[in-house]
Amino acid sequence: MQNPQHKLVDGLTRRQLLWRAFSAAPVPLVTFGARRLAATTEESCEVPHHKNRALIIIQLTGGNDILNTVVPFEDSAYHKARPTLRIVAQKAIPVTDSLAFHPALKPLEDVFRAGTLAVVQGVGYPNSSRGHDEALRDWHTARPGDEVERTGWLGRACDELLTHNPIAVHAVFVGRGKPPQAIIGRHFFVPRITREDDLVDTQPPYESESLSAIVTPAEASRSAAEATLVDFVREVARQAWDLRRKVIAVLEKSDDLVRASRFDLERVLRLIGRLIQAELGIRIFYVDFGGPPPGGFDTHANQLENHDALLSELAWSLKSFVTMAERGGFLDRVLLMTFSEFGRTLAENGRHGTEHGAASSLFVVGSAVNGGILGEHPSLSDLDQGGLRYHTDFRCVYATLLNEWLGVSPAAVLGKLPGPTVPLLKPGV
Amino acid sequence: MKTATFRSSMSSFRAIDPKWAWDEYNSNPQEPWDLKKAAHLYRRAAFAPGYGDLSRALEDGPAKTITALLTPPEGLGLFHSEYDTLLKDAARTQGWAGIRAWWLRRMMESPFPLEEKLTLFWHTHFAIAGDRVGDPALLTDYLIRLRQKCRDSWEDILAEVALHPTFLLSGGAPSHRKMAPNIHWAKVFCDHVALGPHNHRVLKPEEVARVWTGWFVLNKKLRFIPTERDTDPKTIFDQTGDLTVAELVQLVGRHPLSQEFIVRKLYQYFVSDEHSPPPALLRPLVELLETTNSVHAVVERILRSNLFFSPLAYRAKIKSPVELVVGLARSFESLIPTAPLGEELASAGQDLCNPPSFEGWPAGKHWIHQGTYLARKRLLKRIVGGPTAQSTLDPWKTAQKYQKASIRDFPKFLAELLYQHDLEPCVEEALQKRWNSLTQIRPFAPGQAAKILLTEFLLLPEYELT
Repeated sequence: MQNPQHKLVDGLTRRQLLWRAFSAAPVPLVTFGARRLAATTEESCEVPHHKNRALIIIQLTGGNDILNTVVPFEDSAYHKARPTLRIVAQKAIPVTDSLAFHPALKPLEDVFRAGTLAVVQGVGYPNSSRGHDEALRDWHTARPGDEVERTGWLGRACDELLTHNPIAVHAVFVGRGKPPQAIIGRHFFVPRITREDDLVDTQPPYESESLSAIVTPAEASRSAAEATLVDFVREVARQAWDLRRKVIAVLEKSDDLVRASRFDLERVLRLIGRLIQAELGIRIFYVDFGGPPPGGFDTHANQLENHDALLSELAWSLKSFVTMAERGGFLDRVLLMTFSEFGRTLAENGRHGTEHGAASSLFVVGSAVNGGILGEHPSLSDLDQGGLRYHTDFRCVYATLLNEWLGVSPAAVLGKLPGPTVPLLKPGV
Repeated sequence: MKTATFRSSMSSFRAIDPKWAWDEYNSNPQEPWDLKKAAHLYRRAAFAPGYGDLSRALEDGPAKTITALLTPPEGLGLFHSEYDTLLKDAARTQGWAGIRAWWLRRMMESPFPLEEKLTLFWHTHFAIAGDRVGDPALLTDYLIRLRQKCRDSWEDILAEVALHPTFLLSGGAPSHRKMAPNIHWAKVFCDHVALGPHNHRVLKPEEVARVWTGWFVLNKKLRFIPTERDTDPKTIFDQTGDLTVAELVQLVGRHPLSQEFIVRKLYQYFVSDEHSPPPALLRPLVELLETTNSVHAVVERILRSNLFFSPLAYRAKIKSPVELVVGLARSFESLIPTAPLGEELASAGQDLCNPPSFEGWPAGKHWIHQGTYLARKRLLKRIVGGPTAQSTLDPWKTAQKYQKASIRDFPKFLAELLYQHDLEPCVEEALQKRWNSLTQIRPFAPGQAAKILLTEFLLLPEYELT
């Protein structure tokens, strides 16, 4: 493999030359808030603070009942509206004077107290849909009400990342089934994986893997202007085989942690942890928890047991991932966010379940997170057709993640924002 | 122009004389008709050449070879009627997986591969997504009609698609009410179907949305409801009146900007998608479309042209995943099981039933990144090394057919068939050494060794280029 520091023309390495040649803009200038950096080297094509950061999105499909997840146990309206479903204060895990976690979230209590979990309250959007498909579409496209749009917010974010690095795998969908619309972009294709070796072929390599590199040194003196398509595919090949070696190295030294997982979500998150540790440059991981729509969180009947099981899997899996990330030293490089297409109604429905609601809360996990309860709890007396009324538009949360965590322009991905960004991250992150 | 290789320079692109570009290529001492040019033609017009195709093309010369590729062969009607029946059955019993499998098989077996390439071109252009249509039978009907029209006039093709229910369903616009004209969808129509994103104000989405009022998809059929029709005058280009969808289609299909949009896409599909050609270069093709009203005529002019056979076009595209595997099958005159292939191609970025965005699939360099590159290589490896029971891909047998199945000739056979000796000498030498070591294994199993060597050839980055 060629030494990447080997200087060629004008003090630039071959890789930097190729990067210039393959980027859409000759010398891209990236403006992120107050930071403005000229991308004159491969390393500075992205803002350094952002380049090693990963974002994990967990979709809780079905409409999670946030009122029984983070319980307003001091509010009599809650107890009155939910005679059979309410979580009583004695069983709940208090996290503030008025809010408590569902008992199944016990594993997250430590995470919350350590300040690495934020609960962003009252998140939704105007005229939110109560249909699963429509509401998911709105959260995925970040263009509420637009039935025509086919791309998703993370797909468009990948398209932006692609202009800085046309070769890296910017995102993966970890799961089975149809890829969610959120990750569909115009130019970047997000691979789907269920196991580590879905991304790479772990069979012994062929000679061609090394043959890909044979011709590279002889071509290194070519200038960026002369770089042609064959240079591009050879560079992709070199980096792809590199990626393959990294994944295999991680697999070889891996213990049985991934296989020993108790829950499917835990296995998926540990798999993601492995891929983050392999430093493959993947910035976005998308996980579907709850299955295809309407999804497991759609608890219209006999909610208590089902919800308890789902929250238990979620909490144990998150806790397990946080432990892994702490031990692996990458909790500061990862931000994990859960979302659901809507919350549920305050009142239970007579079948020991709840109906589709409106606003919900997001869980955000990571050592960079501004831990605690963020935002006011929506009023239980001023409801939006029986559900909670939103005060924070989800697109403002997306904008925060894009701008402050991934270093991607929110305007390019989301267009005009309906409000300011959200103080999700610790100051100075 | 220098001889084409993998390293064809694009530096002289802007200086091309349009007349020279589209004049007919004739073999000459500087640019002789050779293996490279014949293979280039087959890769672009027919997915890939078999060894027999190359030999015949060298014998026939460019003009006759191109005519053969452009002419529907005898028996095509029967071939299609059998395949249409199989496709409809597969759509009914296996859904999307059946459609993908039978279309891929048709691409591998069609006696008229250019038609399949053009059907794929239009499918990418209209970007109709099965997931949005929701009914495999409806998508099947659309694809059959698309194939029937694929070489006609732009106006006819647009008319066929515009009034097919899949068009509105895939666009997320099954209802066009008088009081709520669908501007979002009309913008998509202007930007991605009719004119391209830079020209949409020439065709105003507000007006286009009103033209469509009254049209609905009900029970999977297109219905016109007169009471939902906005009968006020609409202005499309310079025409004003109570214009209908049929009139809109006619105006769009005949508008020079729309014709340039389609010609540009045909250029990118058949010549190169690495650089945006200047309008002056496209002008002769646009004029040809205006005068002949025939997509076939434009494709013919492209395939016969100096520019098409110049280094500017040579290996100047990255294969789509479909081109990658269909080309492999056609190179070895073989049939690869297509049932698993549909899903594998989706994993490599091309779900045949679901172009991801209104722009179709990503093209050019966007086809490959680290992840999709590995997925493509794994797929090629799996196809060659997979179970032989269902696959007829056997490189040693193909070599036998052409009297090249000997220890001495086989590497040269692959180098000619797949790369036309464009690989760097050091790479060819390394592959020869690999072959030498494979032939030392006792007992020598030529079929197995041939497959291993073929895999080595396919795993080279250069195989990604067309």
